[in-house]
This record gives sequence, C-alpha cells and structure tokens, in this order.
Amino acid sequence: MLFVSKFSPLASLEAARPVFLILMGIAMVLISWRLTKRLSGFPAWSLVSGALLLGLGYSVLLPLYEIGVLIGPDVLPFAPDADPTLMMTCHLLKSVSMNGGWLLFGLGMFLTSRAPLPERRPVHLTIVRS
Amino acid sequence: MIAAIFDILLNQTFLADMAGLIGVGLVGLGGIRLAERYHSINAPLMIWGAIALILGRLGILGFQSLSRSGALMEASSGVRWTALNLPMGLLTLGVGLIVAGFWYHERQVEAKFAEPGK
Repeated sequence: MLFVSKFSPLASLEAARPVFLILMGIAMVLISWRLTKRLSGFPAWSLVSGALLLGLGYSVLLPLYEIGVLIGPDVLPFAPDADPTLMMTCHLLKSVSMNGGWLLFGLGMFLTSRAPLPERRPVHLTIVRS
Repeated sequence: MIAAIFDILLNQTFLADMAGLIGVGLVGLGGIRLAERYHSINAPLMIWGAIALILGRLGILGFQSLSRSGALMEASSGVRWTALNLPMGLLTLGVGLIVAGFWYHERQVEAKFAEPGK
C-alpha cells in the first residue's frame, strides 16, 4: 500500500535542514544549561531563557513551518482551509521567540564574556625521582 | 494599545528584526571577548557564525522585500533560487558554527577552571 502524506518531507536528503535545526536547538539548550553550573545572576538567566526561546523556535516552530503544518502570512490568503487566528498567533510566536531569543542569548553571551573569571582548577603534578 | 503592539509585531517588523540582528551582533562581540580572555581557538567559530547569521538574515529580509515589491517577478528561476537559498544556507551554517563554537569553548573552559562550589 502506498502511503501518501499530505505534508512535505521533514527528514530526507532534500530536507536535511529541519533535522539539523532541531539538533542545534536542543544542543543550544543543553550547553547553556551546562554553563549555568559556573554562572549566576542576570547573565545566566538571560543566556538560558534566550536558549530556551531559540530551542522553541528552532526545534518546534521552524520544522512545523517546513513540513507545512503552519503557513506564513504571505501564503495565508491562498490557503482557505487554514485557521487564520492560529496561523497569525504562531507567526507572532515565531517572530518573538526567534528575535527575542537571539537578543537575550546575545545579551547573555556578551555579559558572560565580561563576568569575572572563575578560579583556576588546581594543577596536579607528580614528580618522580629516580 | 494592544492593536498598536500587534501592528508593530506583525506588520512593521523593523523593531523585531533589529532586535534579532543586534542579538546576533552581541553574540559576535562576546565571542571576540571570550577569544581574547581565554586564549581560545574555538570562540572564533562563534564570530564566523555570527557573521554568517547577520549576512543570511539581511539576505532573507532583502529577499522578502524584493519579492513583495514584485522586483523578482522578471528574474529568472535561477536568480530566484539563489536569492532564497544562499541566505538560507548562510543561516543554517551560522547556527551550526555558533553551536559548535559554544560547545568546544565550554569544554575547553571547563577543563581549565573549577566550578565555584568546589
């Protein structure tokens, strides 16, 4: 039986970009979460919330746009079946999460690069006399 | 008031686009500072990624502006393919480079510096 999907392909040779973006969104969230072990205060908050917004945008919203579940406002007049309120809400969510996410992430990165240096890890040396 | 906010966010997208571009620029500046401070060879990946993201985002904004004004109607299909897919490729490359630089730099710093609690 031939299975015909009404959605565009999400993971194939032609559509490797959504998979890459999903992985990058997850990686961004995980790395910034690891980074909060050494950081605290506003830079860490900004970095993590920016990474969460970017993870939402890159891992959830952009693949949904790629397979055609959500459609942008430019093609919305040509899709009579689509729910315009949902589509505009998702467009708003995508705009806010991508742009605000990059702004918060960049602010966190900028402030992190100016934060005071943490302590050096002690160096263990073994001296062998013979 | 709410209608004005929605109008700014949905139709006059200049502020939102500028917020995203400024954020990517701040990522690049932070990468420069991190590369100086930690003598890192991995943080420059973040700078290249930020440059690629800025160029790709400007390309996408230019493509949207050109296609809405109808200037791309007379262009050949190859020109339209390039005008859409070159910025898309730059965006993908930029995100990958920023994540790679972030990861490698984090691992290098973690090997050198102790956690604050220990």
